[in-house]
Amino acid sequence: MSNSTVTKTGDRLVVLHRVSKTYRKGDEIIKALDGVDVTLAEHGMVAIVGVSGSGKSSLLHIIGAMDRPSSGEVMVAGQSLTELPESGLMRYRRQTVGFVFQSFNLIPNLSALENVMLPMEFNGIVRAERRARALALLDRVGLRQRLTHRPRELSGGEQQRVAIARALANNPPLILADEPTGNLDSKTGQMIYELLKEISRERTVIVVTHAEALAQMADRVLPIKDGRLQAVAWEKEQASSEILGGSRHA
Amino acid sequence: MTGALWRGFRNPFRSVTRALVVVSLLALVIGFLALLLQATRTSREQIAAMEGKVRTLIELREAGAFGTGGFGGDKPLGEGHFSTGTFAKIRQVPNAHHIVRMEEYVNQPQIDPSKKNAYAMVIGLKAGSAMRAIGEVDYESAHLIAGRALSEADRASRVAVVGQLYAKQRLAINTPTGADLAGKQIILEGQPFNVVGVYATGNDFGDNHVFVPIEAFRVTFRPGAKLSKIFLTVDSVANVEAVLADLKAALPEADVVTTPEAVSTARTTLGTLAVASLYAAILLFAIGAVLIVAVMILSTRERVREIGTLKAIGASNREIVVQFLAEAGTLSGLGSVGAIVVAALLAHVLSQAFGFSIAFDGTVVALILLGAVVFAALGSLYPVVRGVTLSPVEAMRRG
Repeated sequence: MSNSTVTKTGDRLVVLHRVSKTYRKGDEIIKALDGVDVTLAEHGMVAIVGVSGSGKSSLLHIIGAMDRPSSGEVMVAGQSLTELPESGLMRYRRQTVGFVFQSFNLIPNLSALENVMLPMEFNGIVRAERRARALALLDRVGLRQRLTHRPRELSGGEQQRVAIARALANNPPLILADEPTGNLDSKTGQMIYELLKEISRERTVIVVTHAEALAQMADRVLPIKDGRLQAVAWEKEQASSEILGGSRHA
Repeated sequence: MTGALWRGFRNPFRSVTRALVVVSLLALVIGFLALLLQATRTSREQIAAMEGKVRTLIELREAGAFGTGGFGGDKPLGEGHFSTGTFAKIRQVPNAHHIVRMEEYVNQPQIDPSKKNAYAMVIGLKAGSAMRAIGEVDYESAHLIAGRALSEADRASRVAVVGQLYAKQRLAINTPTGADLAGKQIILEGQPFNVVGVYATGNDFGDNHVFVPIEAFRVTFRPGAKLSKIFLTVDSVANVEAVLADLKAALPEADVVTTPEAVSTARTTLGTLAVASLYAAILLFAIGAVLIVAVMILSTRERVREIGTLKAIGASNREIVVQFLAEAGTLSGLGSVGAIVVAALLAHVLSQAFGFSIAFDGTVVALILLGAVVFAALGSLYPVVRGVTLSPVEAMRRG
């Protein structure tokens, strides 16, 4: 089912080495990330936590090739994102990562089914297979009865579940979720946490969150402050064997 | 790529209100543009057609006489100063070989105070000559609307073709048909003339004439050899000036009038309209292009965030550009259909209100619509190119 090729480096999926990201805002230079080193395993849920402006979303965007680092090296599934040309980054976004956004970012005039089929279309999968896979994914997230509904006809929780199904469409080894429960009530948020947790059993899910409950469910928590990863807050006993390396700023 | 095209075609309908606003704006702009450009073209064609028709025509009339004054001038009837004898002089001028046609023209006002319509013009006409009704500006070409025209067989007959106003006021025929004319007679200088036809010119003055065979006219009004006018047709526009100079030198008894002078009022009116509509069209074209581009920029700019999302889930720049161009094409295509309706409605209003008829040329309309689609594509391309050159996260942030 997978279209992606995961090149194993041991069982490390994500390796960041001295990654920095700076922005220029007027005359001021802002350091969003400051020499981040981290290694993440192939499975499990990782929560990046920190206050607003701490750099957690910047870190997620760089891992997802949504943005380029100013310096440092990013290796994901054996691919060096810092060396890939634009076409390579496009293929990476198609096959290696799936994104879940805070505000869902579904295409408004496409149905739930069409939204889930879309990344597969970009990935060159034939229509019949796209449809079959999208149906299976929507079934998995409990939206089998909402296939033809447009985003505006769905609740926030339903939209986020469509977005999760879309992120899984090309069966990527890495799912990145940026504040996935930020626009949802706590009950719906809990449902999304559980779904992401379930997904993390078969692949890596990195979640940026303010929500303590979601962080509690993570196998590993990466606190970030002023663009620097802090000492590991805690790692669950049962997950520790799956997670390699530390999260540490030198 | 088919999927990108299909999404582009569908996208305009994600919001009916937005689609209506954009399509209506495009329809108004393109419709006005099409109408004014076509109006410019039509008026220029009309001027060209008029000039082509009249420039080779020269009118001679007795010196001092005005166009509608019958035999006018200082010379009383019968003196023959400006007469059929004038033809011989014309044939002697150096450039006479450029004259391809000579037409004699006699007219006499008919004033009958006992009638409701006291004044009419009686015109003697040679069989086969055009019915030149004296209009408000020009000699209007009269066209038959009932009965028949004068023919060679009428040479010795007292028959008449009358204008529709004359028929209405003198003969009580409102909507003439051939059957209405049976047995209808008019009296000219005490002589009965059978009415065989009714013509129309489009204006009341021109529709108040009576055309009779020139032979019957001479017998009835007894002008002798005298003429009211002579119409000469020159073989080409290039030779008109030379013939004019010859005639002015050889015929001191005649005023030589070129038809461009005679139609100067009409030309001025049409020319002013042509210039005005040309400037308006150029201005509107510029404004239209800017508006189309602006409408498309505004309607696409709000979608930069969506471009970021599409990139984040793996869309290539090419797919995004194709999708948005298809969307722009759909919107401007619908706007163009609306523009045809707008232009047709405005053309109808112009025609009804001012009698200015605009015939739409398929090629011109197609070019205008194509231009609109191109401008729409350019307008939508700017935000799209801006979106695809940003990183996905930047596009989502700025959208």
